[in-house]
Amino acid sequence: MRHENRQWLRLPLSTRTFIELESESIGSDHAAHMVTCNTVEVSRGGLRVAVEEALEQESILQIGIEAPGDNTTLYLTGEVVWCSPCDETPSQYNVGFRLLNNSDSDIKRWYSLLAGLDS
Amino acid sequence: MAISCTHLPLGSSFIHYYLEDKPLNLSTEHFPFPCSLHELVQDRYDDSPAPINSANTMELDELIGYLGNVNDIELSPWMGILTQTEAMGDPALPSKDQSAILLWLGQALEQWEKQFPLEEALSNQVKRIKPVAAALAITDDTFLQPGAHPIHKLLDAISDRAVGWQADLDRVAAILEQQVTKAIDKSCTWFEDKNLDLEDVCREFVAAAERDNARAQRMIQRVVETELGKVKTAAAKIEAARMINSLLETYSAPPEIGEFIRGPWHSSAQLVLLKFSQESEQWEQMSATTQTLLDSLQPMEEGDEERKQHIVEVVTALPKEMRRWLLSLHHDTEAVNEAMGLVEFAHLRILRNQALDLEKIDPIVVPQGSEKQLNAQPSGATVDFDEGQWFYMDTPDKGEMRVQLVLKVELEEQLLFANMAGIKVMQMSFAEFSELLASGKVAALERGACFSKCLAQAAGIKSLAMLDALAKTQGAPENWREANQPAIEESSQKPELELVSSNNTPAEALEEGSAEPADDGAPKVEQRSADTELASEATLDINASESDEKAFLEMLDDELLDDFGEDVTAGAEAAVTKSAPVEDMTESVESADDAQFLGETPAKASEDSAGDEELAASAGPLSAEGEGFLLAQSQELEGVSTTEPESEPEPEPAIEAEAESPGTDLTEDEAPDAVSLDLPSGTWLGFHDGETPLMARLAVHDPDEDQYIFVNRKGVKLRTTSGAELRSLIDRDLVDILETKSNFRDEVRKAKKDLDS
Repeated sequence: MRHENRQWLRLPLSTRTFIELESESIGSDHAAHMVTCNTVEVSRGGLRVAVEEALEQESILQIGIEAPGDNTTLYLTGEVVWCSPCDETPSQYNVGFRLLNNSDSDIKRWYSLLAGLDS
Repeated sequence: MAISCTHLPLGSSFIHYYLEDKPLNLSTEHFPFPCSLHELVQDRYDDSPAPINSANTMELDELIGYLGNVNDIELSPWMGILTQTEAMGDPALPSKDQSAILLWLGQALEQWEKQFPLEEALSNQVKRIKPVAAALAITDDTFLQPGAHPIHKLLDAISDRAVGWQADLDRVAAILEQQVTKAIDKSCTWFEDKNLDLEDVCREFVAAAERDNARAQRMIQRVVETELGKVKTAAAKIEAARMINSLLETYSAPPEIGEFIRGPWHSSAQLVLLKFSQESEQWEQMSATTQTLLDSLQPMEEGDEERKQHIVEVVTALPKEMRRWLLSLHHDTEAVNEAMGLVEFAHLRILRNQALDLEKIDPIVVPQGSEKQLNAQPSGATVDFDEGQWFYMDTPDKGEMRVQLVLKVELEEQLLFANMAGIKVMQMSFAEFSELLASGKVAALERGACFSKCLAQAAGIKSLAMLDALAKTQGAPENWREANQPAIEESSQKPELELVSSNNTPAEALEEGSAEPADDGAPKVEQRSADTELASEATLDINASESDEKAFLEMLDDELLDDFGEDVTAGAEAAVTKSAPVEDMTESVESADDAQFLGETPAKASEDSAGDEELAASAGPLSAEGEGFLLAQSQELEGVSTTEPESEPEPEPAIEAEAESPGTDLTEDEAPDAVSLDLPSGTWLGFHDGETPLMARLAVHDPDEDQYIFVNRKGVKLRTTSGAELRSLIDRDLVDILETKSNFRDEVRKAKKDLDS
């Protein structure tokens, strides 16, 4: 289910992104599972990525997204809003994230970054 | 007692008696003294210089004037006066009585600086009080009753509070330095205003110190709970593995069921242990269920009707039991059904006399060293210090530090130390500590009426019997000590151990339950190379310390602006020099941390179980309005169908407003300001406020909504709480902080490095 109720401008930005699909278990018995992908478009409130695996809707995942232009990584928290197979590449999935206001994340830097890109 | 002749500068000399080196064993209950030491002081300092005649006896006003002009804080009060009179050529001297008192006070101050030394920056501030203390000593009779005068109480309080002070504690250190400076500055204004309320000065300092100490204690509590949580978790993991491994040695199983037992079933076993403990009926039942499961998978001989009947009974009852204990998956019905499907399929094959592909399942690997830990007998080594004791340590990697022992885990033979801010700074084994002790790199720091004790020592009080005799001669009641109710002491942290006693091996602890650590008073620590799981951790847990410190400093910033109305760093620099008296700031800060909502008895799980029916039927978007929800187990123990899978996957649970639970309902008006609990993302918590325990990871803390969202490993939401509710759960010990580390950022850095290389 896609949310069409978008509030912010979308930017077609492709940047390397890391998403933790499964965290390490407590006591480190099971390793974390992280995937690398690229964004398709971003906005202040969310982003769309193309990944090789289907993601569970409404799951909350940690995201590391490389800021365009420099080597720094912004760490964000996103909730999967929708996930659907990619028309062009059936083995891939388009996933829409809603970015959450997590005190432990770089969400404010993200806002600044987007404001800079948008202008 | 040694007699020494001291040649003072400027050619003067006199003989005074040195005190014995062994400190008098007084405690706070002995103060204030019920009697004056005046006569003792006069007698002891009888040889003090006296004026030649009455004409050369210094007037009181003159004497106080000289004291007010003392600039060199290193000089004793007596020398401070003498230096000035000799420079001026003034032949006048204080009276014999005054001289005795001044010398007594000088001796007490010297002893105080030697026996209870403070760091230089604080010491330099405190020394400025010498002249006013001297002036009060000769004008106020109460001064000769150790512990009775406000200056005694102030210096005792400063000594207590500053025992852990170090300049490198930055803002924390700056706060105390400012408080001390403020108190000393105010006290020194006594020369301008003899009506200064010194009791008020003392009260203000003590109140601020108590507030800071309470804050530090909360930090320490968190540190201790985290450590104990780790111990509990580790012990649960070991014991769960042991139970399962002992059965895997006896029974074979199909590989997929073996994987299930080593995975979710092992996790569930840990949860049962954490929630109910090893000696509980629940653990016994789960262990029995595990055995029943494995036994039921064993091949059945043709014609063995008894066995067949047994299998039929097991097939009927076992799934229900398994669902009951499959706690690690109870939020994921699909996974539960999948697991049960494996078992049911195997049973079906057995009942049809079809062979199962059985194999020896590999045992669960326990963390390195923990087997030894399980089986290790206590070495008998003890550390003869209690939690709460302060130390001065000279460590090889961190240098000199003042640290407090906040946790002593007898079982692991581990010691946990925190600094003045309540932040963990060090962890070491009993053996390592004893090495430092033996090499003189550790010294215990005494606290409690330190300055008052030195006053008593300087007057020659050598024993309690002597004190009692003196008190009796001055008409004090025999039970005068009972009247001195001890001040509320800073409580050392002794959180209860639900699962693991610090006394026993993990196995014994799980059998015997929590117990107070035995302290047989063994004087020395024996050398032992501990190879425990805790010992394998770094002695300096930087990650936990940094997040704790960051949280603490953020909390401080808010309070500082209220306390001092200015940036404390700038204030601290000014405070180092002898400054003008600090403005009297109205302290209006109220620590949000202190807004506790312990409320009434929390709702029992049975009250929440009424929501199970709603849970089964509900599906819908989560409320984002700060209501918490409890994911109850979908089936109760009796009378629940084991054959109905959910018709559709439920990625999110139903919402049950926590407001339904009496005692935990918080209206918006009652809710405190949103307070960050300073839990970093990725922290694993164990909730056991409901019927079924829940292990979940913090994914989001929304500071604007004051909302915490907890998820499982895959990000599936498990629980949402408000900050107040979470705080309440933590305070009521219904939540364990199991693990605070999160490796996501490290993993990203590593991945980037690999991709870019």
